[in-house]
Amino acid sequence: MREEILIKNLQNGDASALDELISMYYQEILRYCIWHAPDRTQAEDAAQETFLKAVKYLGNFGFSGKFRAFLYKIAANTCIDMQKNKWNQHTALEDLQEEPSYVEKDFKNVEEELVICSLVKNLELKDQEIVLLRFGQNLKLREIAEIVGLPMRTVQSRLKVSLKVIEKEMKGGNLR
Amino acid sequence: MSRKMKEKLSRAFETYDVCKLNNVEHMQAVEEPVIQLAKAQFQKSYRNKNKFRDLLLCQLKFCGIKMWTFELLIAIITSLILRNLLADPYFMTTRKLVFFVVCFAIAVPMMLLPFLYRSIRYQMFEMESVSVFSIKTVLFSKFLLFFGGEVLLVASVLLVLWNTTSITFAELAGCILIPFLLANDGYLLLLKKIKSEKLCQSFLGFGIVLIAIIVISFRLTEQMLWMRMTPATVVSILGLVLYGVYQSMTLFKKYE
Repeated sequence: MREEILIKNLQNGDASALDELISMYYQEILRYCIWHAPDRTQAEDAAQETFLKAVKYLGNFGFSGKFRAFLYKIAANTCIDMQKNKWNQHTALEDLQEEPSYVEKDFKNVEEELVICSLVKNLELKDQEIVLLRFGQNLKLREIAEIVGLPMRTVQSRLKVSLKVIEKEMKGGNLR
Repeated sequence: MSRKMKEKLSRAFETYDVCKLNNVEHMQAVEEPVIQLAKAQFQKSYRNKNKFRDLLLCQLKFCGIKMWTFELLIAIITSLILRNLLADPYFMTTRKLVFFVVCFAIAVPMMLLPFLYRSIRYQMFEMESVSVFSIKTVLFSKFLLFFGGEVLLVASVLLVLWNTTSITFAELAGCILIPFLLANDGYLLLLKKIKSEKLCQSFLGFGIVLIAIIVISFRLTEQMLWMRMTPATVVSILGLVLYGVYQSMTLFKKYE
């Protein structure tokens, strides 16, 4: 509801609505871009590009539908474009983030979680996307269907199949 | 997949996700430039959005005059034909007259079809020459303009019939208004629900179905039910008017 009011204000020319609108979604989109980007800095670039494009298209053409799905679609296309341009290979040392510290967990759990992430990355691109949006971004199936451009039932069945593949790989591997 | 496994998957993404582990100041430091850049982009690319009423005015200049001229011609021709036909009471019995009037009331909204077809076929050129609106918005604006002309056309036919026949005004109104409003409300609903590419076929199909229902009901019943201005007729007319107004306002608000 609040989002609809902000978008309406934005479409009527009120730029201050951007403060709240971007704050609502920035972390989410950045998290999504981090999954696709080689490092944090380039993920931030991709997230910034996403919001700039969203503002460009939102103001003029008056989109219909959910803003979140709209943002994710732009983020997905931005990451694909940047991937085609092989991301920015020349990152200066001073631009690199210092290594983020992990919360102290026992090593076994961390290792397991990293293996799960690598198993997800082995899936087909579309399936990867669906699993990421469902478990990484906590989106509903209907929202995922809108973002990836597939019917909801297809998303549901593909998610089920992907999860079975991951579970099978995990049982078949060292982890139980 | 077990719930435990799904939880592991969610936790795995949390581990991968470093956002939550970074401090709040860093996030704000990263977010703030994005907001400022987005505002600058917005100022650069924002144009005052044309409202639906601006489109309506444009459509009026673009094709409204043509539509109304066409409807005026139809009104004149229909009135002349009716005057001549009604002069011969053996040719045009009351029952035949009512049948004609009811079918005419359904056929009038169908005259919009050529204009709609042209819009759908040449949608890019029309939209470019008007403004950046979706094709449905343009079609709705044409519908509204055409409806204005339809009302006058139907009113003129009603007056001609009232002057030249012994049927009362209330009875004629009942004969014309119910099928006319039913047809228009149906078209409004189709405009709302159906994709623009299939709209012409849907309108045509709906009109043909309505006329088929009228033909069948006239064959089956001896009574000319609609001729009697009963409370049910009044309620039906009011209901159809209110529904039409409600649909129009919803669409107007949506496209504004």
